[in-house]
Amino acid sequence: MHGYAITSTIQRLSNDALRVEEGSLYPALHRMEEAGWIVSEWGETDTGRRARFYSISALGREQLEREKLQWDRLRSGVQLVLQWEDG
Amino acid sequence: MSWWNRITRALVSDRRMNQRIDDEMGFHIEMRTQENIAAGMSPEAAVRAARLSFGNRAVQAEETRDTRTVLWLETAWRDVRFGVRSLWRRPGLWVTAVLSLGLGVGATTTVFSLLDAVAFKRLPFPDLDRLFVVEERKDGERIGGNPLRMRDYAAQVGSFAAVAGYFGENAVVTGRGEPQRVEVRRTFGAYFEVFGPTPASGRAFSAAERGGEPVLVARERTAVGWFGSAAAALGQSVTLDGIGYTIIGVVPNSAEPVAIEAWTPASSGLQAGPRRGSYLFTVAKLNRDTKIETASAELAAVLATLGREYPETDAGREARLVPLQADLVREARSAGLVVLGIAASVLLIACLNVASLLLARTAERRRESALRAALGAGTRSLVRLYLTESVVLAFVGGLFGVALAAIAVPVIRSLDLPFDLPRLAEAAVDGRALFFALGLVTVSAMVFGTLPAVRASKGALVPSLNRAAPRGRVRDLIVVGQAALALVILVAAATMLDGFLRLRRASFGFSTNQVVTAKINLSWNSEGAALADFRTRALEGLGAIPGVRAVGVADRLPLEGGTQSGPVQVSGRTLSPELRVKRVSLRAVSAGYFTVMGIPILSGRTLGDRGTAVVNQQFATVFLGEQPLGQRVTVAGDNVVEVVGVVPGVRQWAADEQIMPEVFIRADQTYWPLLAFVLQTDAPLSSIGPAIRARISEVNPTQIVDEIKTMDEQLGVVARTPRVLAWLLSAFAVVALALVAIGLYGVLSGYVSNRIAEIGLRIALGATPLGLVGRITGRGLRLAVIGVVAGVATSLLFGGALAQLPVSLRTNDPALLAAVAALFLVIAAVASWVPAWRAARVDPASVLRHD
Repeated sequence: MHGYAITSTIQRLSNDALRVEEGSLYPALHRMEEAGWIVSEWGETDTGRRARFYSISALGREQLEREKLQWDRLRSGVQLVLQWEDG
Repeated sequence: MSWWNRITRALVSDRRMNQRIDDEMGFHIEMRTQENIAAGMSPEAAVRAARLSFGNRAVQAEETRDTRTVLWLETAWRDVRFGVRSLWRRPGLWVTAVLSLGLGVGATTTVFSLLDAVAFKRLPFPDLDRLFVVEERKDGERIGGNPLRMRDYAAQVGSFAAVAGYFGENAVVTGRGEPQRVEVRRTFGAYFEVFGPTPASGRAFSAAERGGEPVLVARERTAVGWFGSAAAALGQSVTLDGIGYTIIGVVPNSAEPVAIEAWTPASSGLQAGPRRGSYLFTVAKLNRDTKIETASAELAAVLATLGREYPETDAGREARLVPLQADLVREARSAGLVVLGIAASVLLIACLNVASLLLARTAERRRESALRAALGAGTRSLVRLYLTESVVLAFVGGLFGVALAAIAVPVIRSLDLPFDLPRLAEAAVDGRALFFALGLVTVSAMVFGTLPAVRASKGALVPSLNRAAPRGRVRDLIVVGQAALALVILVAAATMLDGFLRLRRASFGFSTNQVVTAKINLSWNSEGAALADFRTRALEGLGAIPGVRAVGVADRLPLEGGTQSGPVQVSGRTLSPELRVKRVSLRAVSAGYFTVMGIPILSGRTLGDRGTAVVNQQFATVFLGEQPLGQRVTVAGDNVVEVVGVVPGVRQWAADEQIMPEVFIRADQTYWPLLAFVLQTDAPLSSIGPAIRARISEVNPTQIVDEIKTMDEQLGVVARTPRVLAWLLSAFAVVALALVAIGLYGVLSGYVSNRIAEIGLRIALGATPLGLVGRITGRGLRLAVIGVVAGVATSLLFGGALAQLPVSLRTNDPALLAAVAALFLVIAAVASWVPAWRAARVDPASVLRHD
């Protein structure tokens, strides 16, 4: 998936709740590539345009699992706090 | 290696990376534009909206680039190139900086290389970490060990794996061609188990042989010299000092210490006692994994038991374990550290000079910095730029310094240095020295680079059309610091020089003119009668050499110390307790000694029959009172002698200005096989030398004359250590002084050029040149005076460190401090006067028009 598609996909999947700041996208992508979590290569879009395509690496998947776990913990934590307020 | 691949790949593909980021972002904006058009915008509005939502493309490209760590290298390289280019345009700056840093780094690295070889590097003994000297003390003073006690330690201290002792000796080998002298180590206990190495062929001493059997282990080259090969030497017999030894082992040439050629067990007589002798250097090897605390506690307990068992000899002793290396290199290390500290101070002065130069340059570059900041250079990149310049300077200076050290170290090594430092020959600017130099360079760059860089960054955003000159406080402070440091070095050098000159000027109390000395070391196995016979016949033979006017003999030459007489008694007198323990020197001589050395007999007559003695004035005054002649004195055990003459005092030690009370007795009244003959003659050494050897050979064909020198040469030897140190410290002082003069000059020049308009105005308004010169020179001198005060205070604090040097010095001498301070101020005045004079010649018209 190329950079532009990533922004629009995130936006679509989150029902417009998440908008990626376009300015911070590329530094972030390059940082992740530097860390080895994603790899990139040149490719062609459906319309025949040359674009840089990113895909997740094995290392990236591991990191994703860790981040997910972290997020779950945070989310359940927040939920508990909110429930307490409700009760 | 993967990060390395990444770096190289990234450096190669740096341009491609920029292209990629650019392409990616262009594509993104294009996609957004298309979407906007699809949503119904006009093409122009669509592009505009896309660009707006993306933000500043250049900044984002920059940020994206920055996430690539490897690009940092690329930036650094760019900064280095820039630094080199901008320094290259200022040859005055970089030449001065590189020269001063080079001298500083060179001096420090040289001293480090020498000290490293002599004291820091691990001595090549196997299991060095387990070797400890058993250092015995009584009443707080270090005294030697004893073979019997050593044997008790070996048997009773469980933490010791093995214990050994040794002393060194010169022995004459006969029966293998010309008589030849070898360095022998006489060993006690399990010597090779403690010190190693295992003999390469043959074997070490067996337990039974250690007790004093005539067996010998030789160094390989010595064995080859004797018998052609190590294998041929085994089982052969060789005669040392008239005793035949069987060679049972050969050790490799690398065996430490390399000066020793042969090892034998000490004679059984010596090993058997008596217990009151205190001469043995004792070393223990701890069991593997035994803690030193455990071993020390056990040693103390054993010594306490021995103290009860042998109260006369062993009570009141303390023993502690000192790591072998620390003990062997102690003196060289402490003296070396003092010299290293002085060299490092020179380097620090150099660094401060460069800092001051760079600060001045920062001030000049305020406009450049402001321009760069206006064009978007961040504070960090400006600091980085200036720091890189400093690092470039430091590295070039460091390279120059290492080159200097690489030249200096072999030169110093080849000098015939007076210090007894066997490993000095191995000194080299090696990896360790390079590492040390690299550390120096890094620290230097930090010292002189940080301040200007911070200054530059602070000044960067100040609108710089404002041309007000910086006030230069920091540079003033730097000059004061330099002056203080330089003064400390000057004081050290002057103290050393003073010590050396006093030694040269000193009247030692004897004449050195036309005196030739010949040292002959007879074996310690010699019988007393044989010794006396040799002495008499040698005196006769030497006296008969044509051209020799007088001949004498002594146990030791003046300035080489003296034997302690032990307690002195004077018949018919009860000495005060203080006098009873006073140290008195004893010299065993022949009557001819006084004639040859030009020592006049002040009253009475010279040495006569057995039982007569001559004393020096100091002895006469302290012990004998008004009428010294005819009094009977007991010295050196039970020698009762009658004082027949009084001579003026002669220094026992070159460095000691205090002359000890001294008693001269006849050589045949004491046992001492090391003989120093003195001859009075006009003949040159080249003809008298062979004549002396020929006569001695007539007396005993197997006896070697160890050393023939004129008394002047002998004195030169005594003065060599102070001379070398005086030269070294003076060289450091000169460099330090030059650096400070340059620093002071630079600061005042900067002051003058910053105020050129003000000065022009003053001149236009009628200021006299003299007044101007006075003002500016006064400013320089004020800084110098503050520096001198700080320097004198520091010297007084640290002056004691000079006592670590092996020379007798008068530290913190007020007259000397005053002289050094005065010299320093004169030089500071000259360095300040030059820019002041330039200021006074400013043409007011041209300066005022310029602004």
